[in-house]
Amino acid sequence: MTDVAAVYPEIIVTIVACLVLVGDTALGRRRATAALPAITVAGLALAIVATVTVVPLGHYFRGFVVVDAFTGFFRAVFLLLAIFATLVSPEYLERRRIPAGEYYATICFSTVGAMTIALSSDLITLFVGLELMTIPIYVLAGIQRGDRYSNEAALKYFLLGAFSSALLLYGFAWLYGVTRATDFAAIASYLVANGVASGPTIVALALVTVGLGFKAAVVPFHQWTPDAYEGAPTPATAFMSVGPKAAAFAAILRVLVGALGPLAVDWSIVIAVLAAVTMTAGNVVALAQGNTKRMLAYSSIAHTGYILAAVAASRAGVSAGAAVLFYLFAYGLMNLGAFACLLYVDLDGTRGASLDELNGFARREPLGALAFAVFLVSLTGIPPTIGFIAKFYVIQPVLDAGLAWLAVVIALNAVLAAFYYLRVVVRMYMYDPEGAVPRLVSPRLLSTSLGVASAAVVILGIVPNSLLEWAQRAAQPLVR
Amino acid sequence: MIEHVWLIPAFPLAAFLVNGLFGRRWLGHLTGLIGSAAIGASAIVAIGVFFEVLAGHSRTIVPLTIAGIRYQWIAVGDFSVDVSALVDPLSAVMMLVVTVVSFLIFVYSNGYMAHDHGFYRFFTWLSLFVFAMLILVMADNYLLLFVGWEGVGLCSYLLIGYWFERPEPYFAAKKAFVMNRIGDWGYTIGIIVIFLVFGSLNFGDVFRRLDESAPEQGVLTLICVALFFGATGKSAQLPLHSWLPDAMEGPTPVSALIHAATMVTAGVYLVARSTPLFTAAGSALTLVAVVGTLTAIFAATIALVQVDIKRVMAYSTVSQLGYMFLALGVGAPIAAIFHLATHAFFKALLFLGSGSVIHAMDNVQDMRRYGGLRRKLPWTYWTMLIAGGALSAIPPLAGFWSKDEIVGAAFTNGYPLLWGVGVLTGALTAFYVTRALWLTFHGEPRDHHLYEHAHESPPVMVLPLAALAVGSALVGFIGVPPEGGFIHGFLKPALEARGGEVAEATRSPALVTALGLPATSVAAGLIGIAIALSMYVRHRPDPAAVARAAGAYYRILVNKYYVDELYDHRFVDLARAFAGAAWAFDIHIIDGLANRLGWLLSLSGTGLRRLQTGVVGNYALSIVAGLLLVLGAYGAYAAGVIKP
Repeated sequence: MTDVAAVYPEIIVTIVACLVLVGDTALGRRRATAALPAITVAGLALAIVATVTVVPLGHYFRGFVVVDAFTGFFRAVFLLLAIFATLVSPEYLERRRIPAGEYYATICFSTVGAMTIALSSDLITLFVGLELMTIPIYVLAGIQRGDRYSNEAALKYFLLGAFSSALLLYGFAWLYGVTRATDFAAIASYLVANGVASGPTIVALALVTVGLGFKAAVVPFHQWTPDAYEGAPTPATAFMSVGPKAAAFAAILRVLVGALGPLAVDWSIVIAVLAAVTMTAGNVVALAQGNTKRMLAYSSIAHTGYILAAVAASRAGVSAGAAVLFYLFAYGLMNLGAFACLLYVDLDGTRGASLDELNGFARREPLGALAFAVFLVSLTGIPPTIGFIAKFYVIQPVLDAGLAWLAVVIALNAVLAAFYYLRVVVRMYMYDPEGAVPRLVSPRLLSTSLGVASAAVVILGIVPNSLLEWAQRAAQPLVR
Repeated sequence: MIEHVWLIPAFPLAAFLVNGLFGRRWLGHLTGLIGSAAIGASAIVAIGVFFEVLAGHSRTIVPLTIAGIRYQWIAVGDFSVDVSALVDPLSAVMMLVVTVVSFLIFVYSNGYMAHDHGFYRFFTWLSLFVFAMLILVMADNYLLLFVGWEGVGLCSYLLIGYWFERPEPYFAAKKAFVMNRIGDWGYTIGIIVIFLVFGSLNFGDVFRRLDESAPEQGVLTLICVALFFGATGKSAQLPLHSWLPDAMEGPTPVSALIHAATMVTAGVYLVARSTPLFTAAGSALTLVAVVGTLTAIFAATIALVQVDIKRVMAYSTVSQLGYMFLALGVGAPIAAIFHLATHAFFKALLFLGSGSVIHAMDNVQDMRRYGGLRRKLPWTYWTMLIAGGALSAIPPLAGFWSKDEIVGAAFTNGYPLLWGVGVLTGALTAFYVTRALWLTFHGEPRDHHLYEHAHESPPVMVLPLAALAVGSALVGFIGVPPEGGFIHGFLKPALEARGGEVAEATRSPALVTALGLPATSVAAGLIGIAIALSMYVRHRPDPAAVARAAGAYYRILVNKYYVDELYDHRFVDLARAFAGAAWAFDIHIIDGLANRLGWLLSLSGTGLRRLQTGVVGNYALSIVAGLLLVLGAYGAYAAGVIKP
């Protein structure tokens, strides 16, 4: 029975998803539009409460599931992101006639998958969680059935996702073949006992790196990202860009740092190079984008690079793990917020907003523009926002791990990124609207949630201590 | 109460936020009420803190905590800066003076600014100013003090340029800002060297390590001269004095609050706060005394011939600040703070009174068009008369006790020359005050049209005048008897706790000097008044004739010693040429490189974009290629081909 109690939050979210699906047909269209987001948010909030209480820390389900501070942190992050994504969506779904019940249920199912990754202490649990998280995202990308870009996004994402899952599973198989274990702790102790990397271990390591790197959109396994992000409906993109990415890093931390930690000397330099390539490529290509949505897609690739840099620095100890977690929290807040700001201008017939459409945005929608500016400034990494603190906490362990060159690359990339982020701010505040000005939508729920999120970005940028302490506690289980 | 000391700046900050965010659209004239109420609340807390310090909490450090977490501003390596308040007698006095005088000026401004279209903006900036000023006096380290220091500079800039539609306020604001920045450069050098020498910026740590390690005299002198240079900028001393008279382009309450009572005294406060440093570096103190004395007489002579009532007051302020630095320089910091406090009252009153006159005279500031106003503006007249008496150091008004102590300290501590200049300046001061008051309030009206329309100001303006008049008359008694009054006992632990030189320096003088010195300064003041009355009442000698006789010297005074022209032709032109060169370098070299680089990057961005073909097969291929690369890297690494 305690086994079941250990996964109460996951069970709650699953029930919420089912409730939403039932409610969608039972309530009728009009009542459903108001009731479904309310049910979803209430259920997810209940799940957050459930993460705090229940069982003592430890292993459950005969060692397939672990509940520790790390699990707690990620559960809370996934649920918060799902709530945020739910709150910004209703008006858009209404406008685009997207089936709301399926949309919210899909978000919930994907969240269950992400939470399962956080729970996993075994390759099998982890893989199940990964698939459970990803498959709903394919659906989410293609949920706008009548739109050919949405279909293209879903199909591309699905084909490449299946390909990478196969690589990852193949890697797991090699790993099992070498160590005769699927349990993380057992794998780690086998690697410690049997010392250095042999041929098969290296094959396994490479396959795992690529498989997980794909999910996190690491260059050169990133190419699905811009197409999928651009084609998917904007609120879905907002969720896709943060939830699955955080989940992918949860998996990377569990597998690379947890199970394959003993091989860290082997993989850390490769991961560091991948991090540098990822952030640079993401930023350089983002410079050339004229479409804000696509620009933000590349920017999210660049942020993958920053987070990966902290992973590469894992020999610096708890501070590296804490940096990953802190950055993921910060990234989730600001990136979801930035995508959600596009909802103001994302009308029928536009896929995101071209830069020209944002000219003079501040005069037409002052509060929305202010929130967007806060998110962009935070993505750039300028104080007093959480984005600055997050970069600061990444650079610290990177230096401690002796990767000074990587810290320099991060700093240079931050300068590069400032150009395209602040370009949007300049257009919003200093340009006059020109040509046919698109009509704006001004949804109240969206504005409120963006206001709260942007306030949080600033407040956590000024008093980051408690969040950082939480991240440090959560990173503790990763260190042996 | 002390643990709630952060409430004192919190109220003005809240008023700033509320007025700034909602003032324009919703609050309108309520902003004045909100600002006044907030400062009033601060003043009540400040009074409470003052009495607690009086009751014996002589030195408390209160860190800023938000929701139970102690806020640490900077923590890099072993260098950390807390946001902490230092509550000791010195800061308690400063908080009290700042909040009380600010409160009265806020109330007055409700009347003075009533018809101005930027009402909310005025109270927004003024609230922010009070917040910054309080941070300045509460800070327990040099860096946080600098935050307040820059904050008040910013507010000063914004408020001098408050009527930015006209060109003069705009230029005056720019001038004030630039000259303050020049001073700030000195301050910055000062804190950098302090950190290098002492490894901390915290007052307590710095002064303790000063005792322990006894650094080189030259370094200490460098620190003190740098800090003092910063002080000359903020407190308008030679050679950075010339922004203050121009700052009179701001609204009169701003002149009263920022450019007379509070901000300009920040330099005095800084030097007083750093007394241990300055005492250890003896020669820097002499520099402070000499600069202060020179400024005092320099500004007083200019004030003799000005015709704009606010300019007279402005030069008088520069001159009085000079007295405060004289006090600091001759080793009497208590007298300096004492004079700072009394001056805050009577000079604020003189400015607000001038504002009341200007208000009545349809914004005319030229005293040549005033005259006979005492019948029309009785309240303004009587209150300004008290303030003028205090400024002229007529016993028993406040200015007498504090100024006399400064001049006396110069004599007893062995600076007879400075004492002589101080006494002479006292006579000049009495002359220009009498002249200004006479031209304004006595004689026949010289502009009948203006005179007919003049009327006494509303109660909301008159009441603060009355309150300040009471202060100007009575505040001096906290320093009675000289050297042994309440203020001396109170401030001693803060300013002379380190014993040593300062305490020794203030030897108790012999009875003859104790009586003779005040008598001399009072006599000098009376002579100044007598000459002024004789010249302006009985035209013996006639002022115009004197001006003609003085000829060239008179013109020099009217043109303020041509300092502005000198600066314009020497420094400003030079700076402009340098700035032009720097600009060209920036545009062509720096920006050129940056643009070239940016162009290269966006070119490569466009190139890399081509890799994004949109064809799934290509993507899968790139994944496989990536896999092979990663595998190769791992393999090569494991085989020892690549070394980390």
